[in-house]
Amino acid sequence: MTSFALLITAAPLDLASETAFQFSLAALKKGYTIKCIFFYQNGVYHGNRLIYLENPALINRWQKLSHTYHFELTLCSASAARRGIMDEAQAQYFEKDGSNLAEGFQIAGLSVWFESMSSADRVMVFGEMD
Amino acid sequence: LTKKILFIKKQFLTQVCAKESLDMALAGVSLGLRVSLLFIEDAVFHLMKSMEPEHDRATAFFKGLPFYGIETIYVTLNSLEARNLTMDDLIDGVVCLQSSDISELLSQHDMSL
Repeated sequence: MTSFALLITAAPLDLASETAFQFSLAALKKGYTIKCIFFYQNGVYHGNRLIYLENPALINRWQKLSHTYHFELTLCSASAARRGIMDEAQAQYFEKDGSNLAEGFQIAGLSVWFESMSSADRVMVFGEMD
Repeated sequence: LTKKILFIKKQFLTQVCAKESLDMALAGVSLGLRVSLLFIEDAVFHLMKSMEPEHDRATAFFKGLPFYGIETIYVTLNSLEARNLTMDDLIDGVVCLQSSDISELLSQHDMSL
């Protein structure tokens, strides 16, 4: 079965983010593999644990999916820092007074992306690649 | 075999975004991948040699592109013409393509982003 690596540059409320989720869900249910989902540029806002939405079903759905199907949700470290999304270690490094990375996400460098991209059969981009 | 990747740039961006948009391409180079860039539409403005680096640090960065290990930088002729630009307006080392060459260019790469 074909394996995918997904690059998401769309912000959480963009249509492309919704498309990415529906694509992932459909692909995984059909038995395809997702090697990794990498959030880049405005996509890193997905990892903000302070997001509030009226519809609670839309919160944590990425984490649930990654937990059920065993793949990583990774934020680009540079993109995330520029947009104020930080885990404990980054917050400490940049001397910020708190962290806001949502549970189930990790922060890593672009090498992680290239690693999973190289091992996947197909790469899909959701959002603009300016 | 080393993967050949083509990054396609379409917009003229602010400093931070322009730098960020190239970070992935440069990370690919540093990891040993063969990376080329295709600038279309407003992104071709980034390659103008008359851009003043002191006003825009991203421009200095773009001017240095050939030295970062990027294989080839492409532009399309119709993107230039639509903006009243010629190859003389651009930094050295850029390759100009006809729109009809794009599909051939894509097929020469393992992946395009």
